[in-house]
Amino acid sequence: MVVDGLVRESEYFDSVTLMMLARQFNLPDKGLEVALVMATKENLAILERASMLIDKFSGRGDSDLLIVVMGKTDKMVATTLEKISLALDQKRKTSGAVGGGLEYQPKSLESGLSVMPAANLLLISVAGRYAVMEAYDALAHGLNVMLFSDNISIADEIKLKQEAKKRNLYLMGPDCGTAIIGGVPLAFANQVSSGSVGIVAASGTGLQEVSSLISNGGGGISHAIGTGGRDLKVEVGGITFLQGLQELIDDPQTKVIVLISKPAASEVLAKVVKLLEPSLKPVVALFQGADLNALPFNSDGCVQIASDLEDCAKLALAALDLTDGELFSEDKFDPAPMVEKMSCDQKYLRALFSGGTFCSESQLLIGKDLAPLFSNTPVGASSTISDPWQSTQHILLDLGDDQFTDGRPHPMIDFSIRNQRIIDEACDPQTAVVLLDLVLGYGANPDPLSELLPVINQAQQAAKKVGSYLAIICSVTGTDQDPQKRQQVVAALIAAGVVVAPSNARATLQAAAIITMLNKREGGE
Amino acid sequence: MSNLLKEKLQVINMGIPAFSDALKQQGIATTQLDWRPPAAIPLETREYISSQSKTIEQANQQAVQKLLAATPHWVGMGRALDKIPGMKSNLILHSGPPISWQRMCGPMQGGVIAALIYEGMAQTADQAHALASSGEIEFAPCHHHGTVGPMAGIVSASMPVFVVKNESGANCSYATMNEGLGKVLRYGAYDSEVIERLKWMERELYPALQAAIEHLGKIDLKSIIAQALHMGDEVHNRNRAATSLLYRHLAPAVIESCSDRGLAAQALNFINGNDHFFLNLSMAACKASLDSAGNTAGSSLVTVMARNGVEFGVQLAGCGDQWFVGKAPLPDALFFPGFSKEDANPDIGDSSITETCGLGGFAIAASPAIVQFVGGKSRDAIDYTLQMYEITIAENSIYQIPALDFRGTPTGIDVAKVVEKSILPFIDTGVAHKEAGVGQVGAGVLSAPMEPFLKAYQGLAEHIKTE
Repeated sequence: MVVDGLVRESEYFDSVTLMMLARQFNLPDKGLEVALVMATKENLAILERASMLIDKFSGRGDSDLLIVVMGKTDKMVATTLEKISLALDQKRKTSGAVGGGLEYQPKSLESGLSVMPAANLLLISVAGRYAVMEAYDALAHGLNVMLFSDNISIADEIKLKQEAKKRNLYLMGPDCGTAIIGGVPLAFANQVSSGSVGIVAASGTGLQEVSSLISNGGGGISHAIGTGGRDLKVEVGGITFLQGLQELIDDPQTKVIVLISKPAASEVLAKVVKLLEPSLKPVVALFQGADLNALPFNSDGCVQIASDLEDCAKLALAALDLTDGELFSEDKFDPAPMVEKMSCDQKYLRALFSGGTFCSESQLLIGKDLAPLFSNTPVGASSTISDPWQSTQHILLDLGDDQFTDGRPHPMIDFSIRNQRIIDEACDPQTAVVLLDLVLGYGANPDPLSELLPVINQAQQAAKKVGSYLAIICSVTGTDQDPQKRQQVVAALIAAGVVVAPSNARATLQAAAIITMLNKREGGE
Repeated sequence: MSNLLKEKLQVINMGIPAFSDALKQQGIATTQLDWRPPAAIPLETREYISSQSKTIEQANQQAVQKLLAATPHWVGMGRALDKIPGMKSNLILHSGPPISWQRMCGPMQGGVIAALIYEGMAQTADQAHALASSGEIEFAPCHHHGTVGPMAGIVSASMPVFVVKNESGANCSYATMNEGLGKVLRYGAYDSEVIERLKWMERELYPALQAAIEHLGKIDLKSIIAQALHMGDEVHNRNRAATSLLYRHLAPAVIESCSDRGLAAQALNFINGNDHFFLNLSMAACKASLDSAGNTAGSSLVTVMARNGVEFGVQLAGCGDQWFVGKAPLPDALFFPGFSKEDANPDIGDSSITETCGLGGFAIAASPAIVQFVGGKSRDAIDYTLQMYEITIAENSIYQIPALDFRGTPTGIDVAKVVEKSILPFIDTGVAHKEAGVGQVGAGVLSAPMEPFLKAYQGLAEHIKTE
């Protein structure tokens, strides 16, 4: 193997751009491997593990860009390095930096503010260790902050949120993937209709699912405020959650309030209850995985507790008297025709999620019925999977979890890991159902069909080869106004033989129905 | 409560460009930043500096006001020994931060050899070499004596120097006369042609110019620089307009004050034939301006950037005479025919004093004639200048850039901005051959290295702590 590389000093690209570019040049079949990383300590360690750390990278620091290529021949490596260099030059040009012939792009918040003095929101998606300082700076300049970045300590989160509150500003995040402000979707969000439902959510994917379902059901969103997943922990005290809730209570455009969270600290819930007391607006709340009996909400109050994300959207739509959409019609899914075609070896559910919230939701929905059930992010009745790269029995995987994303973009953008896994599962004669989620919208893969359809076809063929009939069930989160157009995506998936469900909850229950029927068949025989 | 939900959204996006593309598609006012990570500074230093930001800001305003208010004038001439404070007959000044004879690069050693032969202290290069390493000759940076020198920056006792006075601060700076291009002392050449030219300059050019400047009293350099910026100079790599303007001041004065017509013609022809004649005055003007901002406690303003061909040194207004140094980089250059990067010496010279003062590379948008150094498009030059506003404290009130609608040049480098934004000062430069005696091999541009700025940032924190 030949390994060679280049250093581009003081040149920075965000990791998503670099990973997408590396992927474009990676040809594992031809023994060609490419890495494009900033020379951080972590990345140097990753290169070392991959035997791609070369001498000329020593002494390089955070602001240097490293390109390294491992291949079979000198020539292959050299030409690939050259191509990557050209591609990077091109990126610089089209991004409007030096040489672009476009408008000058400010390099810092300070000069960004000189270009746009009335800016009111800074959206940060740079690496966590830099993001904290930048967020402070933004707050000091009177800007609200949406912190998409992760890898930020809870101590920093608390300090930032206290600082924001003191200044009457929002600090959404960290790890806040989604928000909708005044009808405008930010970061990973869907183009939903404007309307009268206000959302505060500690889960980005949850927010996407509920806002899309409400929009598809004829409703609309006034604002959706993302808080980051830890906001309702006792340490953070729900600072952003309570800020958002108070503002939605006061907002004249918001008629119905939706709260989405993981189990919350009881001290924080008490504050939520107190805020809600004087409000007359109907509230729908989902506390995923919480003990419903322990929640401090009266059944006679204005708070309705939802059981899952779909239920959340339904209750909100019902509060608006919009009950004639798809969600309110009976699920006509019949597992029998599929089960009939399955071999007697086929037993198991293999759920491959790109959304972590969906993975937990599905486990909570079917964990008890389908036990034993394994996951890399177990909740409820599930157990930890011993080797996440190896499937046995019923598996529900969150492919957005760190062990799968190391050095790669999120699986909502980069399908490669999941695509491979779909084929692997199809080749396993014990696989009965592959359950998938597909999230559309801004930030997500812009052309999901071109990648997913061939894989589905391949999986079906592979299953046939081992004597199986593979059921593929997929929920599609998004709207027709999204750049990918939900209706088109759904039609194409159905044409490819995929069962498409309107929500993850429903897709999960359909998958479980197949498994249950298979179990009965076994018991009956 | 925040007004976010009530206001029209205006977003600055720091990071993934797709997020701002999506917002722009929806017609939302969005500014995408071309963000880059800060230089590797210890978090505690950054937090300390940011805790002191008010003090630093105040000190910087004080320092930059002095810099902006400076009014450098060429007021006279004299021999280095008579004019430069602390000059001695066995002292040789050089460019950049302090360096011993042994560690000097080829072109600087060549310049020293030329100076020793010129002073009559050695007859041959070998003798000069022996003398330089004997310990009898002392070496010091020009900057320690209020002086600046391009490239090797060599100044010896009997060389004539310009005296430039900042009339608003009453401080002076000094520089030798520019010898022209080709084989010259400042690029480390020391053959007889070089020495003869220097001797002629001392014997004939110097008296002619001295008489002329006495006749005129003084020449306002700030005014010449301001006009030259409107005429396509950035007064570092291009001095054609400034030299022409100077010539218009000088010509009548030389004619009136010089009784020997032949001598007057020779002096004026020499200036006329050297597009860079103004460079040394431009540098001295910048030095006099920056010195007035020096010694401002707590200020992160950069008062000196200088290279000795081995190291790149930086001084701050808030750190007295302390040097912060790092390895000098190789310039990215256009080479004269027959030469390549292999021949190039690492960056050398005090001429980066022009950038320190907001000219040169900082004002390259004013100089479309030399954009081939930065990729050939005038848009590139504009982008480089725009980038320099990100690391400077003020915009000059007198020096302006026509292509930017007469915006003031980016003036007063703030070391904190350099380090925290990871944006390096952009410098125009000439390139010397790495071996003594060869001379100039090209010209180009480069970014200053980060190391001296990192050290200066930390040095500033220590200075503030102990003050």
